[in-house]
Amino acid sequence: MPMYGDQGNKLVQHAKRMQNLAHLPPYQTELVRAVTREVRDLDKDVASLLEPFQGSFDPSADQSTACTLLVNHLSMRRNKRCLLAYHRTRTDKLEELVWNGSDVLDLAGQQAGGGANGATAAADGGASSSLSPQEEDYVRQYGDLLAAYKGQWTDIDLTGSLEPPRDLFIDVRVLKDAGEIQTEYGAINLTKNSQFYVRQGDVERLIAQGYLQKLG
Amino acid sequence: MQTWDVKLVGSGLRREPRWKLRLLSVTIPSLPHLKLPQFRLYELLSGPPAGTSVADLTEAHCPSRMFRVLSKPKIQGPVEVGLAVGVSFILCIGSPHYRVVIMSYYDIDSILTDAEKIPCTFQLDIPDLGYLDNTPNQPLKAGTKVNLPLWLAEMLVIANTGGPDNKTFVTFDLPRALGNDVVQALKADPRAVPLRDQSAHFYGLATHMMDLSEEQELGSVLRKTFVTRAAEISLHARKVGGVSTKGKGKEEGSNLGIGGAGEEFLRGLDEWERKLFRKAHDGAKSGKEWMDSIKKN
Repeated sequence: MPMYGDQGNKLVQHAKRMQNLAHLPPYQTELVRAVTREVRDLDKDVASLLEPFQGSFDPSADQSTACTLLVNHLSMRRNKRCLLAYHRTRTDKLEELVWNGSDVLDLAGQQAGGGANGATAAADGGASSSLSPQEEDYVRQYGDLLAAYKGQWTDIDLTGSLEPPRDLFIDVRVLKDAGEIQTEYGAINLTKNSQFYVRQGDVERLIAQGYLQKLG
Repeated sequence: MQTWDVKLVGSGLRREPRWKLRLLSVTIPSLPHLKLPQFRLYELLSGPPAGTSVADLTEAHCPSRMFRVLSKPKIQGPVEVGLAVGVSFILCIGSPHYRVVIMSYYDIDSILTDAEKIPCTFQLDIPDLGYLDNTPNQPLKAGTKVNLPLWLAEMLVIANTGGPDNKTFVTFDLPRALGNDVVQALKADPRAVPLRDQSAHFYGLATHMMDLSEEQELGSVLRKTFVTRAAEISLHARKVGGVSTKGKGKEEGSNLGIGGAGEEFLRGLDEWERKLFRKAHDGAKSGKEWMDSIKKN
C-alpha cells in the first residue's frame, strides 16, 4: 500500500545506514526530489480542498474534510522532518570529515572518476559525485570557516591527533605526489613511492589526507 | 495524556547541557484556524502522584516540589525555555494538560519509530481518504480498519472532530507487538522473546502506545523486561569483548564464539537494546585495552 510518507521513510533509512559508514554514500537526488514533489502535491490538494470555503472553513461543520486536511497536513510535516533529518545527518558527517582533515571534495571526485581524473570529475560539477552541489558548497565554506578559526592559533593544530606520539620521528611512504614541503630540517620533495624518515608533526596532515602512509 | 514533539530551534546546541527550545507547534493541527491559546508550562520534577493521570492534574494538587514553573502564567505565542532532552514537562492549554516529552527533531531512530504501524478504525466516512485502505477511488467508510503509521495515527487519535458528540477521527488498538500473547510471553521469560521480530523499535513503540492508552499493566511488564534483558545483554557484551580481541575486526569479531542460544538472543534485540549492547561491548573492550597498556608500561 503506497502512501504519503513512504518515500520520506526511505530517505531516513538511508540516513540510518549512513550513520555506521566511514564514507559518505551518494546523495539521493531522486528520492529528495520525490519527497519535495509529494509535499507540493499535498499543498495543492489542501489549497483545492479549501478553495470552495473562501477562507471561512469550519472544521466541526465538515468533519470529513477536516480529517482529510489533517492527514495532508501531517503528511507534509512528516516529509519535512524526514528531509531535514536526512540532510542534517549528511552535514554532520561532512563536518566530521572536514575536522578529520580528509579532503572531502577531492574524495568525492575520486569515488566518481577514479584516481587520476579525480580532478576533472570534480570540475564537471559533480554530476556523479557523492555530494550534491549544495553540499560541495557547504563543505567548501565550512572548510574556510574552520581554517579561519584555526588561524587564530599558529602554534597549535586544532585538528591534529589527540594521541600523544610515541616517537618523534617516523618512517613514511609516499602514496601520491604531494610536491615539496618545508620542515624544520629543510625542504623535502614528496614523490610517489619514495620513503622518508620525518618528524611526525610535519606530516600528520598528509597522512590524514592519504598522501603518505605511516610505516612500522 | 498526550505526547507532542517539540521543535528545537537553532543548531549546535547539542553540546549544551540544556536545550534552548521554542514551542512552535502548540496549535492543534486538526483545527488549523484555532489561534494559539494561552498556555503555561511546568517542568515535571517528579512523577504525578499515584492514581492521578496528568490530564486531571491542576495546580491545586501539585505541590511545588513536583513542578517548576517555566513560563509566566498565561503567556501567548512562542516561548523559549531551557530544558534537557528526555525531560517531561506539562503544557496547560485552557483546561486540558498535556505532557510533553522532549526528543530531538532530527533523531533518526525516533523518526523511524514513528513509522511503526498500529491498527486504527475510522469513526466517520471520509470521501478523499480511500487510498489509505488501498481503494483510491472509493470513500473510506466509517468502521474501516487500517494500519496507520504512528506519526499519522497519534494525531488522528487525539484530534477532536469538533462535533457535538466529541468523537475522535479514529480509534486504535494495541498493535500485535504489544498484544496479549507477547505480554504473556514476556511475563513468563523476557529473555526468550525475540523483540526484534515484533518490532525493530519495540520499546519506542511501546512508549508511544502507553502515552496514548490507559494500559496500566504494560509499563511494569516492560520495565521488568528491560531490566532482565539488560543484564543478559551486558553479560553477552563482556563475553564477546574477550573473543573479539583474538578475532580480527570489531564487526566480524563480535559474532564469533557465542553459543547458539546467545546468538539467537542477540538477534532478537530491538534497536535500543542493540545500542546498549554496542556501548557495553565497546566499554568492556576499551577497559581491557587500557588495562593491557597499563601492564605493558
